[in-house]
Amino acid sequence: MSTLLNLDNVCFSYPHCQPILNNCNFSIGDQRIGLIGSNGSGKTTLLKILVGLLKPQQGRLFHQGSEVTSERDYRKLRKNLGFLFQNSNDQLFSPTVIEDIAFGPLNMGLTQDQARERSLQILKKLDILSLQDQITHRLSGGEKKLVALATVLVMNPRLLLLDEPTNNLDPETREKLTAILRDLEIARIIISHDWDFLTETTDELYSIEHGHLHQCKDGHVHVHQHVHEHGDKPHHHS
Amino acid sequence: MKEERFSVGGSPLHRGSVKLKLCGGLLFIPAFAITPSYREALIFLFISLLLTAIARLPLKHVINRLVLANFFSLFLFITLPLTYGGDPFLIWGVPVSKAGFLLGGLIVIKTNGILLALIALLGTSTVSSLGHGLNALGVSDRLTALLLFSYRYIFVIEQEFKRLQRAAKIRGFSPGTNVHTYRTFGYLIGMTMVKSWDQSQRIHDAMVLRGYDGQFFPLTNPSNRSPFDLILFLGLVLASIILTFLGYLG
Amino acid sequence: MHISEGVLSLPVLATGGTITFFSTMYGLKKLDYDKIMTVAMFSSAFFVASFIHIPLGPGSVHLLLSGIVGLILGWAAFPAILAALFLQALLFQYGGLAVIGVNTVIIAAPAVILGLFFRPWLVQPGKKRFIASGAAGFFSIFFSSLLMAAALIATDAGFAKAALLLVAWSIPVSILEGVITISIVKFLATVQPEILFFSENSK
Repeated sequence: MSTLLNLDNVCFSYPHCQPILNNCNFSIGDQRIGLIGSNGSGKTTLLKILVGLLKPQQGRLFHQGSEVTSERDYRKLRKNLGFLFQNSNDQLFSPTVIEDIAFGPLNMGLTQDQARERSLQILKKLDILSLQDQITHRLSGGEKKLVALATVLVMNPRLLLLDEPTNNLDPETREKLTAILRDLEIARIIISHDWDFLTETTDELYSIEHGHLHQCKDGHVHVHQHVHEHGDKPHHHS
Repeated sequence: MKEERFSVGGSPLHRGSVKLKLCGGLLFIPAFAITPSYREALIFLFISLLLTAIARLPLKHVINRLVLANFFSLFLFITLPLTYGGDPFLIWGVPVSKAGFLLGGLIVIKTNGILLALIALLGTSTVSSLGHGLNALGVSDRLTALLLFSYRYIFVIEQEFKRLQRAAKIRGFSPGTNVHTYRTFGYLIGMTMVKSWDQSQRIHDAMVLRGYDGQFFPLTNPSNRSPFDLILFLGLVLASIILTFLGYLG
Repeated sequence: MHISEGVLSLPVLATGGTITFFSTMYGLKKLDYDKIMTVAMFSSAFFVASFIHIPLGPGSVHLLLSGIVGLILGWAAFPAILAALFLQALLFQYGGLAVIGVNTVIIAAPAVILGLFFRPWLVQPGKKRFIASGAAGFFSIFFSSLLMAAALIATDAGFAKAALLLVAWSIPVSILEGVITISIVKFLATVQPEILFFSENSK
């Protein structure tokens, strides 16, 4: 397995706050990782550091073995990553769906026709081709989430970073998203509190506590939402 | 806010080429606006009505819009006859300026005629396609981006403001003419700005992650130009030129 | 604060169009690419403000907010206000296309000039900030009404009295706008002061 990203002793704190990441070490190649932790524990901060929206105050970030320092390195790194924001309204900024999806490919230097072609392909793949000419802000929350995922997938990322993708989704869209992510063969880090979803879409589980990242050792804990009292928490069946 | 109400429809104007409609409109509307006399203004108005008929616009909504947009011209139509000066004539004992009355009338015709043309020609396209049309006609990428982004976020900001306003109302805020009201509105607007500011930073991040570095490449629509578009365009150009000449020389 | 279509003469329309053209170019040139989204947000906020009705005496008026837009955006207020007016003309038929140049000058020119003049005071806490925000709010509307009157009178001297009525009507609205601008700035200074510093590190 080749390592795509590597964090080496990274520290980060927001102004006037306790350090949120403290000598954090982490590497990912082609794993499918679920990331858990309480609110404010630094999950989103970690993803933002991985894509360079935040810069580590101490420690280093490596991309395919070489350290990422300049804005050019970051640009190269970002081409390999696809970040799905918590709130799709922050991610969809073009008037129509097709324009929003074509934005990335056009920035990559594709021609109008190529960009359109590729955007339509991805819409077809996600089974939302009918949305192509819709006005983005009039979509439902679930549709917005799928379109946002399309804007990310159209860039052919090697690693997906998903920030609470199932939050506020209707059950139907949640099912759809689960199926899509289960079948995609792309490495990923998924932040979520949705245990069933993580079980289906990831193989390993990490948690952040007190600024440190731990792998939950027993592989993926057995979790699902069923009726007994521990149904909403990770637990082992005896 | 019922935006883009007229942009959906199956008329030839809805299907027409945005670029040609823009070119035609950007000549026709100023020509109409500067016409100095009633004769030409009425012909312009007739053409505007014709365009409205071709576009098969929902009449009720059109009239609604016109009423709302007429405050300024009605203000002039009422004040000019009383203030313009020149030869007066009497209506119920009030001296009314004939020149002011005629000018006010001309303005009302022009305002409404132009708005009809504006709705029929440009209102029948979406803002997104108009933005791209303007871009293709030479409006800079940055201004186009600014236009499309601000259009996109109008609705987000409006909803945000309304949410805050509702929250204030639930807590017993009833607006009146007093400092408390104005301070509260200031805070509501300030809060809306803070939220929009934060959101604009996040959107900027999202754009950077997808390879944005200052160059804006809009996705253009494949243009489909029909004979109708060309006839419409030539008609608008000819009408504008001929009527302008007649207005100023005839 | 919109002059409607069909009122102004060709020279007035052309003058407004020319000033708007060059000021907008200049405003865009001074705008960093990483700020375009924020300027677009202010442009939308300016648009939305025209739907906010504030009680004033027996009736209500809508806000303009050009004062605060000028204070925060500086020269970028020109393209921002132009974009908003274009959308208003298109979506709600307020103002219009032939007069868009004149309307942009009427609203944006006082906003930009007052913004540049008062910004040094805006970033200082205390009395100076209070005065800067109140004055920018008040005078942006008042000067806009003067420019509006000037555009009308330059078209036809017979508009003079009607134009004066508009200026007189703008005074209470200017006071209201001044009070609200003070309150907005006070809020921003407490909650998110970097908004007030938006133009500080411009090119």
